[in-house]
Amino acid sequence: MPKLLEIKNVKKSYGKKEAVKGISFEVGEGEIFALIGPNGAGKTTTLRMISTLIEINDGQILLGDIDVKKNPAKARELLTYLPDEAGAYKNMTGINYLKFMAELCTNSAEEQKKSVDYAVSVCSSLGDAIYDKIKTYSKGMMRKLLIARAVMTRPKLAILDEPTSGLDIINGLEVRNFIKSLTETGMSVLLSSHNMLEIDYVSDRVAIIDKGIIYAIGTPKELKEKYEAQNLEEVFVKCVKEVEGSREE
Amino acid sequence: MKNKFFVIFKKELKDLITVQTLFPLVLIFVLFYFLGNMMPSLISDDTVTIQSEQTDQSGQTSEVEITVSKNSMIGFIDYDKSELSDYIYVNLPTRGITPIIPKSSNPEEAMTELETYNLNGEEIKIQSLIVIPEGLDAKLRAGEYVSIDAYSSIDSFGLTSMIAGASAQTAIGSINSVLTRELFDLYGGDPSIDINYINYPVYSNDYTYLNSKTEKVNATMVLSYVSSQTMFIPIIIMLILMMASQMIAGSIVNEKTDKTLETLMTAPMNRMSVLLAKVLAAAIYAIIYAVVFSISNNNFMGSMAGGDIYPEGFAATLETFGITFNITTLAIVGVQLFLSVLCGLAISLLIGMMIEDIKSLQAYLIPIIFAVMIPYFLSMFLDINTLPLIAKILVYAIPFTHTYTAFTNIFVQNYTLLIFGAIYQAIFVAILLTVAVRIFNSDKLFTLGQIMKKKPGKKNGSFSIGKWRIG
Repeated sequence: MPKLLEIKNVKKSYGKKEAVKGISFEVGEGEIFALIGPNGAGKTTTLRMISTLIEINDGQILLGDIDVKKNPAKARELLTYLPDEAGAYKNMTGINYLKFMAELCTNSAEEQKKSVDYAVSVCSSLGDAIYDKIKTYSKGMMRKLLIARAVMTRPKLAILDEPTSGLDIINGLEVRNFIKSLTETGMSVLLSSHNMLEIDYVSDRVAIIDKGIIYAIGTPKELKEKYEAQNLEEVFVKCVKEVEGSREE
Repeated sequence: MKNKFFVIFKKELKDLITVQTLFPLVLIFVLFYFLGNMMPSLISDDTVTIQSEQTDQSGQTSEVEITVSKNSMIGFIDYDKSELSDYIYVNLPTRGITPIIPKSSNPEEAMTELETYNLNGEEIKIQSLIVIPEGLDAKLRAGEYVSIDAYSSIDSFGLTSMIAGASAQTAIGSINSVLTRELFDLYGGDPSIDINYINYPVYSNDYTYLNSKTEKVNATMVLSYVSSQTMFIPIIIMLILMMASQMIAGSIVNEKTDKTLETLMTAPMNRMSVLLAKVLAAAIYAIIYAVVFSISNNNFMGSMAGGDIYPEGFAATLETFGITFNITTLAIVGVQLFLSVLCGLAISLLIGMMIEDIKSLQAYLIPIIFAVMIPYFLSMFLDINTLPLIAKILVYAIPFTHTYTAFTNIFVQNYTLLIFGAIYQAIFVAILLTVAVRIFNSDKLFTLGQIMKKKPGKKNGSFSIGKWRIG
């Protein structure tokens, strides 16, 4: 699988606090890659660095052949980012929000129309509520709208931070299925979650991250076999214990 | 068990009293401390010590030092050189007026001389002059009314100028008061004499001295006219700045709290467009607000004036003085107003970028509001140019001051200060916007919050910025 994203020994500190301590991984074209770890592990910082919101202190991020640090504007043309707990302009209607974002993210009226049509089809379960003001939306409706916004331009890379956080079982499943279907269009997805069962279901490959360090990378199946675990939660606990144990020695 | 009221009370206090809310308070305290220290020096600067002759009960005359207000000093030219004119000169101090005799006996030359009068080595500004006409003594003894020329100099349009402008009138009142006693002795028992004449034997011919020109017009009328036409300007500036500051800072903070900023900043577009769009939208809103307020205010002021209350030829007189509201004047003030708005927007933009929530925003905007109000009140009550040097520099360092003083500087033809003010405001805006653009193009917008986050295990209420620990 050709590489789309390459993270090379990337570091990030906030003042004296090291949030990411030199991580490396790759995401292939059409791959769903997940960062799993507890809160404060460095997942969001990593996603924000790739999405050009924050600058790296050291290392390199390559998106295709674009160095994200040197040419963030060019990188932004290839990616979209859905932050954790993201919001939308509450006084706009759902459809107007999609049109507004399409105007910002595309360069022609034709592209705009295509993007909006695709986004509307993605969040078709909203029904007529797409014409209602966003302030009337439930959390699940809002998340569906925002996911539609994130993929509307069919970017090379969709970065989704905790895409199902706060969603109920049915809405969560719907979103997970949708994410899984994105790779059919050739889109790569980089997502983060602390819901390991979700990651197990949706991801092609997984990186286990904690305290700014990546402990292991592999497919969910590979990791479960390697750590003789029933699920990714067990993998996470065993992996962290193993690495920390070897460090103490 | 703790009283539940106190549990909530403690929590509410903790929410309200934070570093973010205390910082503006400290700033306000420092500002008022500075103003408090400045004011007494202004008041003491308003008096001057002079030598005066005093006659005691035994009739002996001696020289004593007395302290008088600068505003009580008026120029005094006596063309009559008579017993009564001398009587006026000697007795005016008993009415709180200190007459000063200029070297020149030509009124216009005397006004120029009195602008920078040297009194015991100290240069003071005397803004009024009265000219006792030849024949005053003879006319008064013949029971005739006498007109006295009263000159007032205008060098600014604050409230203090109103007082200075009225001092010639006060002097005429005092002369009437002084003469009443003498005339009562002269005509006391004469039933044919009008009591009104005894009370007011002299009246004034008012002249105003402005921009080295003298016109036969009442200074208070000129000041009232300018005041009525310009008094709404500072109010507009104040309101616009407050509104625009809230709008722009609120716009950034709302994007942060609603979590829409990250989406916007990762969109494939120039980040400068985001920033400029926000600034321009807020500026346009402020301008619309200014236009609506100006029109409403003009209508209101027009209805209050109740028609043309000024005498014939008043407009021509104003034109001679250079006090005209033409396109150029309005354009200059418009530019300064726009620059002021941009200054306010740029400061608020930076505040909006650095804080995370609306509660902190309100607290951080308070110093801006004070920075807007301080020059507003100062320009209302006094001429900022008369402040001590350090105070003047500090007040002019506030970019909004230059807009408040724009009309005054135009009307007194102080173009240097006017141009300097506009350049200073433009530089101020350019620097702040450059900083804002740099922050907007960097990751500071998102990392400042992380850097300022409380560290686990540290005392409540403390945070660190780099190596500095606060709280």
